[in-house]
Amino acid sequence: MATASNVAGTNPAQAQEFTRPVRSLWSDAWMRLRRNRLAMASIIYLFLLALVAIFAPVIAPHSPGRPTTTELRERGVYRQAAWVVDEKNPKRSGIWKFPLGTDSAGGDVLSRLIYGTRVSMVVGFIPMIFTLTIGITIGLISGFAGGKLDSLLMRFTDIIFSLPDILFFIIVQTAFSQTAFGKTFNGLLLIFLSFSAVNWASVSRLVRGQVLSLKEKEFVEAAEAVGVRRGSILFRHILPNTLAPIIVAGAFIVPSAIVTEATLSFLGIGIQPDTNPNNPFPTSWGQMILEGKSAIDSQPWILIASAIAIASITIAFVALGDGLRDALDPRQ
Amino acid sequence: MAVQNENLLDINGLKMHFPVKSNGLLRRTVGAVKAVDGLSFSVKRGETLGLVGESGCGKSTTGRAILQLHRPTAGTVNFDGKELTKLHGESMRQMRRKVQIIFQDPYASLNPRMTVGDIVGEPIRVHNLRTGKEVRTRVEELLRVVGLNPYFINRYPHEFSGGQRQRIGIARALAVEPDFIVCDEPVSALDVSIQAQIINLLQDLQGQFGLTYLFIAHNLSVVKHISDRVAVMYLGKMVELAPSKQLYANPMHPYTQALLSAVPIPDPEIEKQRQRIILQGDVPSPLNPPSGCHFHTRCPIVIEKCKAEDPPFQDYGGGHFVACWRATESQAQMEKKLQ
Repeated sequence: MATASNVAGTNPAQAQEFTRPVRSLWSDAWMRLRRNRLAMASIIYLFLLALVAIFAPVIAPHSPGRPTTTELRERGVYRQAAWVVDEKNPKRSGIWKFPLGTDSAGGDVLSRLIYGTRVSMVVGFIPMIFTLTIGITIGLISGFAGGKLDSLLMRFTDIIFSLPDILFFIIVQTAFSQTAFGKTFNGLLLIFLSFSAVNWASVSRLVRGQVLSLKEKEFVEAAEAVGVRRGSILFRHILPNTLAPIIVAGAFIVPSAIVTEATLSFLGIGIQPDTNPNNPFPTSWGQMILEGKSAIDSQPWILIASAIAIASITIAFVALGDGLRDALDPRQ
Repeated sequence: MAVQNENLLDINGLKMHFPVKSNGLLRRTVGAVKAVDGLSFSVKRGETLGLVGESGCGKSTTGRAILQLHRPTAGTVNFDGKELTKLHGESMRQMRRKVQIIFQDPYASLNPRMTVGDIVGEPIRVHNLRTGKEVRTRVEELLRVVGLNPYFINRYPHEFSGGQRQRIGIARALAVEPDFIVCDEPVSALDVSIQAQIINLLQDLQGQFGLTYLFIAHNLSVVKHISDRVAVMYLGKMVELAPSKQLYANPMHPYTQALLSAVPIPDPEIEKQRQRIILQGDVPSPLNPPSGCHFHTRCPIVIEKCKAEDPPFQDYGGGHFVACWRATESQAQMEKKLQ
């Protein structure tokens, strides 16, 4: 018989133990993450960037699109940054109304930079969601079903994995960028889909590996012995235990997607610039680097500012990913 | 313990072979690991049958094959009049209410992402034994039964010690109100001080709920303490099965004799004087077990017949089953060898 003395914690000394808050593995991980200064700084920085992206119309001093004739007269084209004085051409001297000057079409560079945050944010997160969804689904099925289906799916994954991605993107872009589908959201949809189409392979391998090892764990066997249905075993026992590495993988997909978009836009096959002032995604940082490249002698800060923007957001996501990995799996 | 003469579990010719596949695309079957190779025994209602043997002899596989966690290659597992090997899908799932398992490693057997309440409550929910708020009440009751404070219900497994985790595992097994529990080395991962607590708990529960145990272990003293009858396995086969006292007092199989002589005695004087039977060599591979009696490669009293013919698992009186050609003379022969 389990007697009262057998029950732990009936004496008052242990009463305090019971008031301690419950700590799940998730809350433990969050505590470890909070202690990581670099990761927390990254979170704050990314949060600010997210605010900038959402409230771009409020924050940006000018419209990012093509200026009206009167506006153009005031802005001028190729205007220098505010701190630069152009002796030969006083019309192009920088004024603080346009801190980073204007580009060839008279667009305010700072406003375009601010709007560019939107593309980087969307292009980071949406493909991550697509990629994880495809990768998790295929990884779960492959690992859980095993046998022939597993072999089949994994060979398919191998094929996708061995595609040279940049070449694949270039082919897709050249083939579809002029179609209606390719023009949806300035070509963003096409970028999302082509990125997700090749990047799920690593996620599905990761998930499959996790599922294979978890399937052999005794708690899965215990669930089976208790009579839990296979679907519930997969979703209640296996999936939650694969989430930690999936989250880490997701955090690293974001910067890779941002860099991919920047690369494609720099090559001129990424998002298509739009001068329509009502377009929420008028330009991207990668594209501004492309523009800045041709003006590198006269207006170097266009390239520098957008390059810094891309570098900082990428570093922030990588730092966050590192922090998440340390927090979620302290054993490594 | 009232032991009725009714068999709850009848096992006949149980075989569990794991196919070994070749590498490469074709993945042809090139052989089989004969983890369990023809077991026949029965477990009486209300008794504890101990199952001992060294690592890799197929003890745990036997337990899992009985529960159909591994589908047996051959043989029958008759539980309470139902043939488990023939059950599939929903009927098997219903049957799982009656047979449960307690695992060896309390760190691996609890889902780290679930609270104690979810872990113990899951069996109740999947079998619809209680509904709504009653689930929680029942979980609290079960925690009390296994000696845990019901306050722990919202905690996660990593917040507990090994012994406490094993109690949670026991509560989960009890949640479906089973008749039969396979205890798969339930104490071998625990501290010695905790082992006794868990063993006592298991015995209390047996009395309280009329449980039948198959107690798998490699610790002979633990098995002696808890079991009514003890079975000894070697390389996928049962070599001896006898009432506990009988087996320890009068082991008839040379392997059992060797095993028992290896049990340490907590008295240095006796330890110094007693002679051990030291077996030579290693356990042969279950991929390619020896001909005849599986033990003949290491048996000190082997004769020619052992190499050629597999000895029958035969009753030598009083329910003392032995699979040895020299069962009746083995003790005398072993003593001769030692001198």
